[in-house]
Amino acid sequence: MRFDTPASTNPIDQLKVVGKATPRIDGKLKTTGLAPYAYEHHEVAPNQAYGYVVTSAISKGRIGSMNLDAANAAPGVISIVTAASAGKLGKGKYNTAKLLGGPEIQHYHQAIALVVAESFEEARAAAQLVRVEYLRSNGQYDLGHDLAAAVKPQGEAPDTARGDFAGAFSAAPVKFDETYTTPDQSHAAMEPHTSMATWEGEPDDRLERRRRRYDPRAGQGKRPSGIALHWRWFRWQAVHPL
Amino acid sequence: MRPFTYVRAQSPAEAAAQAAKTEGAKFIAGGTNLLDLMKLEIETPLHLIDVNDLALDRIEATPEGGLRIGALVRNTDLAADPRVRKDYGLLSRALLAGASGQLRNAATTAGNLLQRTRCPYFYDTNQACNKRYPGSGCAAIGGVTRQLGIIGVSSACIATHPSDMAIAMRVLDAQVETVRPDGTTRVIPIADFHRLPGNTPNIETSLAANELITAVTLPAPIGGTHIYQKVRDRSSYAFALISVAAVIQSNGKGRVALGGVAHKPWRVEEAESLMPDGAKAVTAKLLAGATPTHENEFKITLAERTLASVMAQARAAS
Repeated sequence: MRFDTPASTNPIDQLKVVGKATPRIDGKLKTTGLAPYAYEHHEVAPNQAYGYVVTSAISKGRIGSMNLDAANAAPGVISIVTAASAGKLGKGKYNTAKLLGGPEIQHYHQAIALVVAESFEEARAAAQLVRVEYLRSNGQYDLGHDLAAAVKPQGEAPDTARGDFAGAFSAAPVKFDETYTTPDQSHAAMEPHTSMATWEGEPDDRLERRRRRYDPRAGQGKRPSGIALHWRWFRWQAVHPL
Repeated sequence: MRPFTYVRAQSPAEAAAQAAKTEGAKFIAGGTNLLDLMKLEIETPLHLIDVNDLALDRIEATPEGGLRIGALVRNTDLAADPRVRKDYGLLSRALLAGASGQLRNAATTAGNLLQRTRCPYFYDTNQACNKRYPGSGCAAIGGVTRQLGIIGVSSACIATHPSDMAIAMRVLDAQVETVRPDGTTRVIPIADFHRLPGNTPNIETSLAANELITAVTLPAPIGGTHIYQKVRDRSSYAFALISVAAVIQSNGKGRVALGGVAHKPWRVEEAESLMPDGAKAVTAKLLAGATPTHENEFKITLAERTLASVMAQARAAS
């Protein structure tokens, strides 16, 4: 079997970019350790504060109570944002859960609080002092078990191309008929996702925000949805992975 | 991370003695595992005793024809030592199968033996774990167990020991030399060094409180073909689903231990007499009494096939 022609119109199959030797503008910066992480753009915010996310310890249920006293009293803590204090929370187009859980918990490790402190280490230490009592309920945790109840997503046509498997298999001179399953795989960004926001003048005046994205189409010019801010978004800028 | 105090010790006996008189003390060498665990507040020492100045970083010949490996010899240096490469190739290969170049540059011989399990329920402080909080239960049982133990497990813990190096050390009959707070020393055979979890999975080795490892010794070389084969979900920078460490002689006899299956390097000497009969016979004896979950019962088949591959490689090499 030879693979010498593109199998589909997918840009990757067309080998227009992937598969070609292309000098990367970020190559030298990254290989020499000079590429800054998004949160290291200190010229934007020389006195930046740091947030650390507290996540849900249960996957489904409700928060019975949350005690922030010890965390609020910890060194360096500026503020703690929870669903109770964040104002009205919406949901982004591609989100299935709210950005902050509480009182309802929608999935394991759902963000339930953001501890803001003078340094990352202080924020992390204080986050570990947040005490939460949960009311658990039962959930569904096995995709394979619930396969029969799956529905095909509607809306935009998926970017897929399939050949004639049945025809090729029946005509093959040598056949193996075996079922393999592969372990779950998730892609992981090369650096932690970071958003950086600065206020210039009064909070209502202007909010500049930088964040690291791996899909440059996803953020430019759009006002991030999901959190109903009373701020007006005048400018927001995607910082590319450099 | 919790606040802690920090000192640099000047001699092994002094380090052990100081640990004994300071509450919540822990030794730190490479720190490649301990610092991660401290950031997550899985380990919360009150006092760190840095042992990097103790001049335990040499590899020396022993009068018996073996090697004494200082506790602070870095994994990279141990794997690259010409004597290790020539006479204990298994050890070199096992070391290079683990972690990354950067981690091996910092990680020490003693620290490698003492690293904690990578069971995800041990790492997630939201979950019950008898290692972190004895008596809290084991969330891994009934959970996601693909990576976890299949033999020697208990109703309190099904974690595995993550080390590659330790599997090779077990096959090579290494011995662990220590010093205690009162200044006395002792030698612990590697077979007795790591423990099964039982009802006290928080106690992972036979070291007494504040006992410090000073060296690991290897007996004289035993020849044979040295193979370490590690099978994992990702071809680099991942822990073993199964690893096979073997020294096989030209007559087909040899030694074998498994990684990725138990709370300690898994070697059953009686199984080794079956090596001329093939991998199936050896694995049946080696893993007799295994109690895998439905998610990790594949490890029994995988162990047998990996051993078969190792034995075929040994035949081809001899």
